[in-house]
Amino acid sequence: MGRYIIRRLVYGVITIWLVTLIVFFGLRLIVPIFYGDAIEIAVGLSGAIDDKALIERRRAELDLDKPLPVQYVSWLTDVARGDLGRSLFNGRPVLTEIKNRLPVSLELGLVGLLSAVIIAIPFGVVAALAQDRWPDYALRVYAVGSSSVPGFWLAILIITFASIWWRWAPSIDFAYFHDDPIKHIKIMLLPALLIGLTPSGGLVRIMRSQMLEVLRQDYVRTARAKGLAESVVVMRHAVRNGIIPVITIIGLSLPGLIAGTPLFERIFVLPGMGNYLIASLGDLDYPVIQSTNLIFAILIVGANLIVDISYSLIDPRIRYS
Amino acid sequence: MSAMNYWTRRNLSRRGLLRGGAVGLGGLAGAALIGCGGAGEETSAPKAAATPEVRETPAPLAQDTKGILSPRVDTTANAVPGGIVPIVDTDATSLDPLTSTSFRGQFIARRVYPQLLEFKPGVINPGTGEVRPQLALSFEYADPQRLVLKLRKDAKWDQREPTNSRAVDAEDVVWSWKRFETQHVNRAAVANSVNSAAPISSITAIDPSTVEVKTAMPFAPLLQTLAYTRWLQIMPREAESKFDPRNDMRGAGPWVMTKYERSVKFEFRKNPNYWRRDRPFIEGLDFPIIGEYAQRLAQFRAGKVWTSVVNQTDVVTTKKELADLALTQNEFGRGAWQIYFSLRPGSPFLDERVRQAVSYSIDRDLMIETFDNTPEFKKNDYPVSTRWHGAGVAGGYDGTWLDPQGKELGDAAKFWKYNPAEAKKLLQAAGLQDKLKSKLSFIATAEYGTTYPKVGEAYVGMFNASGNFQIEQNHAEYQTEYLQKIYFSKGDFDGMAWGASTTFPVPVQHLFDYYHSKGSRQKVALKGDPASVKGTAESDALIEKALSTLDPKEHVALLHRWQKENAARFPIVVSPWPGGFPGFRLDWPIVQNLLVYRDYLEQWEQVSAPNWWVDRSKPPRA
Repeated sequence: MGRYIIRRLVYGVITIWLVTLIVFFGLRLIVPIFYGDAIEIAVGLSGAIDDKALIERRRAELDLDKPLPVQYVSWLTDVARGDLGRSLFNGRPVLTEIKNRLPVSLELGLVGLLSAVIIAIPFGVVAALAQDRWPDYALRVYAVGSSSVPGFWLAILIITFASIWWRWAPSIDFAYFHDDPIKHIKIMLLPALLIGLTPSGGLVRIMRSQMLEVLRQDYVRTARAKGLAESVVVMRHAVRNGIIPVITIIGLSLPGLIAGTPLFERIFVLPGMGNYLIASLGDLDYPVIQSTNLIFAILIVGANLIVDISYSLIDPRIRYS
Repeated sequence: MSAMNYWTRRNLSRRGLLRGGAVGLGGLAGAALIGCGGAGEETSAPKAAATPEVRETPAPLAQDTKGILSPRVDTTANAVPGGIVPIVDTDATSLDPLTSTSFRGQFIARRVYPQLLEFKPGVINPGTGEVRPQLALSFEYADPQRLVLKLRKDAKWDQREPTNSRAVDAEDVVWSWKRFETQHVNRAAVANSVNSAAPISSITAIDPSTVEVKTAMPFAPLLQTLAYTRWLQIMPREAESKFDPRNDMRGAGPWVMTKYERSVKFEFRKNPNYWRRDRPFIEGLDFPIIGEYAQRLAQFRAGKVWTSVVNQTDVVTTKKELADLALTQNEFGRGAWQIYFSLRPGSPFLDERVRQAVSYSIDRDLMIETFDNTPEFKKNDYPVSTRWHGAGVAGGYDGTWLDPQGKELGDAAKFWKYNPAEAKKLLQAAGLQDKLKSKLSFIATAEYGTTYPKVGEAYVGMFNASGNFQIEQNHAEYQTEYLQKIYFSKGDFDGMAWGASTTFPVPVQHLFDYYHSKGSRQKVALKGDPASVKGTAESDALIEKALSTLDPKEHVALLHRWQKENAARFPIVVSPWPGGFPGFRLDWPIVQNLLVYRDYLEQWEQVSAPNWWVDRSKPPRA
């Protein structure tokens, strides 16, 4: 187990390094073939693309005139020291921005995921136990419906109709939890619930199908034959086995949920990572794009590792070699 | 003419125009409708100076016979100090107005940083474009190429570190000019050291409270150039190294920035050091940064933001839902958005008959009806007036604009009328027997608002429906393709393009920037070579003459002459949308004087907002 984890960690580090390499050189070598570099795009926005002196001055100020390997090693060395650099255009430290924003996106993603799980697991279990009866039909309609309706669209509908019918609009004056916990929860709850809605539909369907499969297994029949109570059969023998693939999907969904929060951050005016990354992509703000991709890569690799390890905790039959 | 007449008379209907991607119009481009009222200064202000382009009598708008519009009433006498006004905003990459690459930075910074001069706001009536002193106390021409400005002695920088209430002096102006001259992205339009066609050769300090502006040639719009907020805002020289102007501000205007949470909100509070001791009335302005229109509208409906965010398509329904809202009419647009052409060798658009055929193929009334929602307004008895933008000059420039539906453009006016049959004859005369195959490039994203791409689709549909063209649409990416490879390419692209334009204070600056071969956004000379397009050299000469003519009447006469001489050439075809219809706005009446002091151009934070006051007896009540 220990060796397995170490091996996976090494692979993870290599994967993350490759991501930094691809993002760094892709931004500087491939993107300019089609569009120009960050400075040309920024200056070009205001029509000064012919002002070569201004472009060269800006490049020199930002050390973008140095050879690419030198820039890459310099950035990587800074990252190793915990310095993710500064925005090319407003000079803000990227690390500070990420420190402020990552918790918001993580919280949105985690609460969203939690709400999806809280909805999906009991719904899936009930649907399986009531197969082909009305609770099953109702829950399947919910599953298909919530998977089909994008959460951001639902968010816009809720905001629009609430403002028309009740003159109500969600609070957009963001407060951090440590400053005002009640206000913070009020602001975060609605978007987080809506984020969880779409994945909950898929999870309900997976949980239902897994439960149906497990409930037909011999060991479940044996458990029933032993005279165990139905609740014990379901909770101890069926759900515990049926939930394994769901956990995989939950684990792998987390980075996706965090990365998928920009629309909600935009709609609900939340200072998260998504808004930050999207704004920096438009400007080709290299340090921000590189660092946010690095963070996302770490999250995805980490989530994969945690999911793999969690298998063995849930199912003792799984062993790593 | 009603919409029904169009549906029955023409093959191309409103429905047809909207077909192909329009499931309800998302809204008008905010950029087309600039500012929200101006302010008046008033008793202590020095006398406004005569300027080369004073508006003549504004053309009257349609009468509000049903009493639908809210009256603009100056309630300054009842003003009660206090209150914070919430207004929707968008974010900027950098707050430094002199080095920011986006005009958003300049828009936000103008709340704080002063300028030497400002446009005098209209009171009740629209502003006329007159310029008056702001940070300057007075100014005079020592000769046609030297302008001397005396600075006000009561202007102080922010009382916080590092400016510590230091008096604003001439060295700050000189420092700001040098920063502008070396780093501003539009320096080529202003600084002669960068572009020999640009006017200002130097700004120097004569003494601590006097500066001299020297121009390389007599330059008619010099005062407007100094008043234009996108260019020379005056910053304290401490910005060099003692604070980071990209993220913080230390100004001398009516407001100080007290809080900035990136992508969340700005907070501005009244500046205790502001030279006008009796203004602002309100304590401050809060700007939540809301990108999503549905959220903006919800916040407005709920009374959490107080000033207009309502798209034209939603005005009538929102007013019906919330009868308490104040309804006012905007002004005609001064931004001449445009269709422009490839100037590459072999381009069919080098032949002016082809460009005339393009103009003939545009049904201007139908475009305005469709995209400005005028039938809906008419149906609900709103006063509706429309104009067609003219030859290079938008309909909002009263006095300079020549009406293509009038007689002043002579025979060339016929090209503004929808006439596909005449377009066909012109194309055939130009040697094009079959349909002209080409493409129209525009952006599909919302940088110019959500209506803009639908207008692009409508143009494609309209050209193809005329039977004379076979146009494909090319959706160009905004920053990397559209701006760099089309908009700023000086004609070095394929086919046609549909795009927005920058609004300048005076028409001659617009003409120089877009129609002169040395203009930074010019679309009339391939890579700046005036010989590449017939007529550009003559047009250049006339624009240059107008630029250097200081006498206001002569100046306007030259602009009229330019329009008449270039009307039939169509180096650019000005789009009827936006700005051909003034549109309406809705605001909560709790903000008094909101639309009484009317900003002329992009200065409402300095000239209008200080006169606002919060009347708690008016809706929305807490």
